[in-house]
Amino acid sequence: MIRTTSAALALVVALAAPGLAHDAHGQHGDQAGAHHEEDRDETGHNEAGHHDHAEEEAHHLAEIEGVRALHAWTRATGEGTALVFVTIENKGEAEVKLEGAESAAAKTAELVGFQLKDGEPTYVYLPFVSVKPGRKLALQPKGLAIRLGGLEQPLNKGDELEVEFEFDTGHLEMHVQVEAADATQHSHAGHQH
Amino acid sequence: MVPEFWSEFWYGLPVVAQDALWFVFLLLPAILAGVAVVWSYRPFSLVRAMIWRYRWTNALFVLLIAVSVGLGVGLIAQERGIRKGTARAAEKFDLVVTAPGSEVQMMLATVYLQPVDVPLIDGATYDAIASNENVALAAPIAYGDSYRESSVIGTTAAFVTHLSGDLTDGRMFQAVDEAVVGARVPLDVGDSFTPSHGVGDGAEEHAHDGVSLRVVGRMAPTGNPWDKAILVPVESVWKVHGLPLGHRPERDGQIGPPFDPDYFPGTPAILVRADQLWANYALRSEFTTERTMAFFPGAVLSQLHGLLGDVRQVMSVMAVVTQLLVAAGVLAGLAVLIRLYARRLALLRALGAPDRFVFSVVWTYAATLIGAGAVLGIGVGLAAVGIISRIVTARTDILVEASLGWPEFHLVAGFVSLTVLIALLPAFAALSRDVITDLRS
Repeated sequence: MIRTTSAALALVVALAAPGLAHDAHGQHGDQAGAHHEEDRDETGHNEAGHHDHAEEEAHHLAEIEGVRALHAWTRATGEGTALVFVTIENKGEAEVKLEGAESAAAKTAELVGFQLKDGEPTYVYLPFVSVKPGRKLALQPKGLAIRLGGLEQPLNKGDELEVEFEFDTGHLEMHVQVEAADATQHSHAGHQH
Repeated sequence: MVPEFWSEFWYGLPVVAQDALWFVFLLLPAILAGVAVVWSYRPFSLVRAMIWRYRWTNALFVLLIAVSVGLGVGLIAQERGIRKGTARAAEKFDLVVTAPGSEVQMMLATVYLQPVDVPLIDGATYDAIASNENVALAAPIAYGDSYRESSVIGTTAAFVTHLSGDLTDGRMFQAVDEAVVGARVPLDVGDSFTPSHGVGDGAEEHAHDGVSLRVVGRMAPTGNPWDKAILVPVESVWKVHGLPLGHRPERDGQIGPPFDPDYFPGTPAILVRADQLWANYALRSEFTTERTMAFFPGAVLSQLHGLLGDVRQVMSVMAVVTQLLVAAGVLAGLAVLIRLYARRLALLRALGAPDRFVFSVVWTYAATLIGAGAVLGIGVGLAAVGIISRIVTARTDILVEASLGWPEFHLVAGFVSLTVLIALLPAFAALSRDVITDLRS
């Protein structure tokens, strides 16, 4: 959004808007997100209690050997990269490692963590993150994420894409819901119908 | 839509290369215009003479451009300086665990030492955090007391070392009545003081009468508000408040970890650091429970910066609009300045100088003033940022450094390109003047 504004401004003022143009690439890869709310999407979801939508519920949930992935989502973008967020629950007996992901929709997919480097927000590559038995791991804005690179198509709100999360114990494939470009959490799309 | 090969190429470039290319791209119109206008002529000695003829008027004009450019440059550089300074101040605080509440408030209290009354984290919780296999450092940060302008913080020796490395003077605290001071605390090694309960105007000065703490060491500068802090063993804070000392009675006198959960009175915040980068993220999820909140100060700060992003955009737009106004002013100024030379230019043309030569003289003259003003403006901007940064640093204890970055150079390059293109107008106007009339004037 900043990029669009700056591009428009840059056009309007001919060539005198370099500060803005720079800002745009300074914030590359991160929409200046406002507020992230760790558990709200889950609690909110449970409180809603729409049993009629069990199918849709299954749509947002995937499980393999005690590892559950819940509510995967990303933001609408036309920029070729996107961050995928999801909540991982380890209901098994052993520690598991989330090692990355892959998706047919993107050329690359890697696990990244948010850092503020020299005042600029960036996401750095992480080889893996462990989840202990009985614990949850939240991939959320300004924290952990799967970064998709080289997206084949722009992502529009309401779209879905398939992402395979890679654990040391196996792969978990699930739907990723595309939310608005400034979303801060999964919207439980199915429940609003 | 941008072609894929282009975006792949562009994002494959290092950021510095992207910035440099932007700079060249923004300056290109000026260079191309210059080459086209001056091509096959050598107007420079004449231009030098013109500038010298009315040197004070020209110097004033250059100065006006310099001040305006300096304001734009200063605005952008200052905003970035403050953003970087606040981020640098939080760098040592990887992960902070507190009682559930507002992340922003807890960050301000823990990182920037703006204490608030908060619930304490108990011994069992602290123990669980400290004994986690991925935790390399778990330091209590017990704020609430002060001495004059300085917060008195109870913590461990490991945290002092983590914060500022080796001490510049003296040694680490080794007893409950010893303290290490920040680089800018007006106490010397060997001095004694009595902490007050609370911080600022509300501090109760005599609440801890009878307590005397002795300064035994001084930390290296950290560039954050901890330079004004006094660090004591956390046992010291517990002792002056009449609480248990964190250790079993038989281990009385011990300073620092391990603490005994049963005798641990509590701490408002814990700094957690993992050796492995990934572990910080896992720990954050692990320590986000009903009783504790774990957050990355860097992420919270980034959210604040994000909220301020709108202000930042407004400032950028202001800087650009200012430059546009200046460009308009430059145009008006040039129109007036060139009238000063009307008679000489008319003479030149009467002598048979080609129109294009006269055009190149006028334009080169204008471009020289603009170029000189822009370069000087960068200096003015840097000086302004230097002064403001020093004031901000003195007032907030957050080290804000003045530096010029690519955005400023982009702004100046764009400004130069725009104004030298505008300067083509007075050059055209100079040609349309009547030679005879100007010669008679």
